[in-house]
Amino acid sequence: MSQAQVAAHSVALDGEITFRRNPLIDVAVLATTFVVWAFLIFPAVWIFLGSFKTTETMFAATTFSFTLDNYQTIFRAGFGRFIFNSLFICLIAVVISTFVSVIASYVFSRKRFRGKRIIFGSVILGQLFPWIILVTPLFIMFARIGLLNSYVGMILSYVAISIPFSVYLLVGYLETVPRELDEAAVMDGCSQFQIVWTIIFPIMLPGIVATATYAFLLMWTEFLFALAFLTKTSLKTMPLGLAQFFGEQTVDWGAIMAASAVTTLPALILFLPLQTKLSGGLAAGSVKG
Amino acid sequence: MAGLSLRGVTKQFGSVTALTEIDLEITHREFVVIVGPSGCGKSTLLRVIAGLEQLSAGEIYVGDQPVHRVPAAKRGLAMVFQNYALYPHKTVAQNMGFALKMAKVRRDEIDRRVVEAARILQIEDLLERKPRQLSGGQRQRVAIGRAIVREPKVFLFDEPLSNLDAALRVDMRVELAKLHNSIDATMIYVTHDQVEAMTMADKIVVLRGGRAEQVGSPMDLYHRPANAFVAGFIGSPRMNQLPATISAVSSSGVSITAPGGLELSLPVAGHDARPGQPVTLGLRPEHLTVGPQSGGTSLDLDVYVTEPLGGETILYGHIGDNSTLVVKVPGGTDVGKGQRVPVGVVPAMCHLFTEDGTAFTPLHTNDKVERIGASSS
Ligand SMILES: Nc1ncnc2c1ncn2[C@@H]1O[C@H](COP(=O)(O)OP(=O)(O)O)[C@@H](O)[C@H]1O
Ligand SMILES: [Mg+2]
Repeated sequence: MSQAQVAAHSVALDGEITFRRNPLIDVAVLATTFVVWAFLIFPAVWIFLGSFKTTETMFAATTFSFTLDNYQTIFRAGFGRFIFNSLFICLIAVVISTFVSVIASYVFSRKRFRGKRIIFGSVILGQLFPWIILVTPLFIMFARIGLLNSYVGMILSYVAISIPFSVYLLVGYLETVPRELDEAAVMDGCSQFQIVWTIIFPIMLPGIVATATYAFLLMWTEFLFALAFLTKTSLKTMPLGLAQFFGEQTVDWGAIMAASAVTTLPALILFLPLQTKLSGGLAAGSVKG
Repeated sequence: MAGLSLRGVTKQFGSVTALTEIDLEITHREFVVIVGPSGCGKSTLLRVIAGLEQLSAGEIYVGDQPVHRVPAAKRGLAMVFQNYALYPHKTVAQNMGFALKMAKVRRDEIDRRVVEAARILQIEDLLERKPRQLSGGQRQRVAIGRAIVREPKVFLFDEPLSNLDAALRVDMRVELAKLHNSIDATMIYVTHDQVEAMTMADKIVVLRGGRAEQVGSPMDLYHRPANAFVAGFIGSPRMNQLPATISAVSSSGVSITAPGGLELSLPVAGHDARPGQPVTLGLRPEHLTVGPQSGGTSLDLDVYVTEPLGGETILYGHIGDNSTLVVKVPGGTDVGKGQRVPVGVVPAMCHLFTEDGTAFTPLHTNDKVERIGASSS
């Protein structure tokens, strides 16, 4: 009953729907949303709580004994190093991939040249390959040029896998930025490079942040390439570190939950503040409307 | 001084020819309006001059300098875009000063020029705002200010008022005219609105399908249109164009018969005109008079709609074989729907065009026609 009132109230506040609606429908919508939300959030909450439980009470619903043992276990197993490796590889790869993608998307969006559709199509096609197909040829190539067990190799492969969809997303975003802005910048004396970085980049920042976030999360949780290209423990990334707690005979659930919680944190800390600040609307007011 | 001249300017987009051999001489401080229907190549012409599009053929000179190979920013031109194109992430002051910053002008000089331009445009108190915090009219001013700050030799405007509401448009029109008087620069102004063209221009260029149909002062174009298209485009309400037939040709003019039993002897050069040849008779609504006629030629109009505008009234009616005729009369005229009224036609105020639209040349220039601004320097 009170839920229905809340729903009716928020609908009125939005001002978009002014006619009276059946309150039962509002309840149903709200309930569905809640169920979906619960399904999405439950595993995260469960993992977070579980990471502070002792092994004995891990799967007990009623008892809870608090411990930091799980965290001690993972950091003793070198998880700090894995965090560093992951951060190092992913951050550099995101910066490079974003830089390249911004320029490439600008060219695809603004320039007319021969074969543009074919080249753009092949960029999109690159996205459709299952990664597992790429692992073997990349492994052989990396082995030949000595990029196995190296940061450079990992960074390069992460840059390569994130560029196609970054370009795709950014081209879509650029289409919403009026071309007159580029032309105004040309009249104002900007070079191509200056147009991209002093005019287009700041205007597209919300889109770029969204794209970069997505790319980062993709790399952050990437397992296949890391497993194939990194065998030295000192170079391993977090997903590999996480996997090592799944033993042949036993699974250390406590450690896995602690490691999972730690894996989630940097992503949250890095991108949550950015996301809320840069939620679009920057291009408003440049042209009519 | 910085006039501008276009010689044989041609622009093709692939197989589409957007501009064909445009020749145009613009003198220093002239206000030139390029007018024409949508898609006729107005923007393309402006963008070619600006340097945003490459020429396919021809030459462009600013003063005596060829500029058609010079980068856009170095041509000494400033452009005001139809959609304003303000940088959304920069303040008004930063928007206006950006070109100077790119040109590495000293900081205090930039500030001085921005403040000066803001004073002219009365936007001093908006300097720290972002474009999204401005109204349409204010954005338009900022866009103009951004051009003024650069102190260009030539201003280029692409339909700058088309996004404003009617009242604001009239205000800005006056302000632009004032601005043109107060600064030492040539202005080229693109519009599809013939009223803007007539009221603002020293010189009008009428474009159609990428060709310059006629170049001249507003009064030139109004009184001596080179063809039926220009005649129809300039003037409001539009010129009536009636099918007619030549009945006789003599040294004193051409006689024609038109719908409604109208017989006229027009003082135009006959040249190779033949009796029986189909022609088009052009009658401006404001050159027709309603009421009992003392001499001259008249025809009967069956009025079916009246549009009273206060100071004047527009009459729509049929003549003869159902041809439509529009007549503009003073506001007080007592004519109602369904009435039949006599309409007087003065032969000296008529226009005659061949079947392909070319105007017949008047035998003697009309002394009442003023020449405005056509040769001002
Ligand atoms: N970049 C372009 N590529 C192809 N055709 C173009 C381009 N720009 C303009 N045109 C064509 O040139 C003609 C003139 O366009 P434009 O100058 O924008 O007209 P206007 O400004 O008078 O409405 C139109 O037929 C248009 O389709
Ligand atoms: Mg246009």
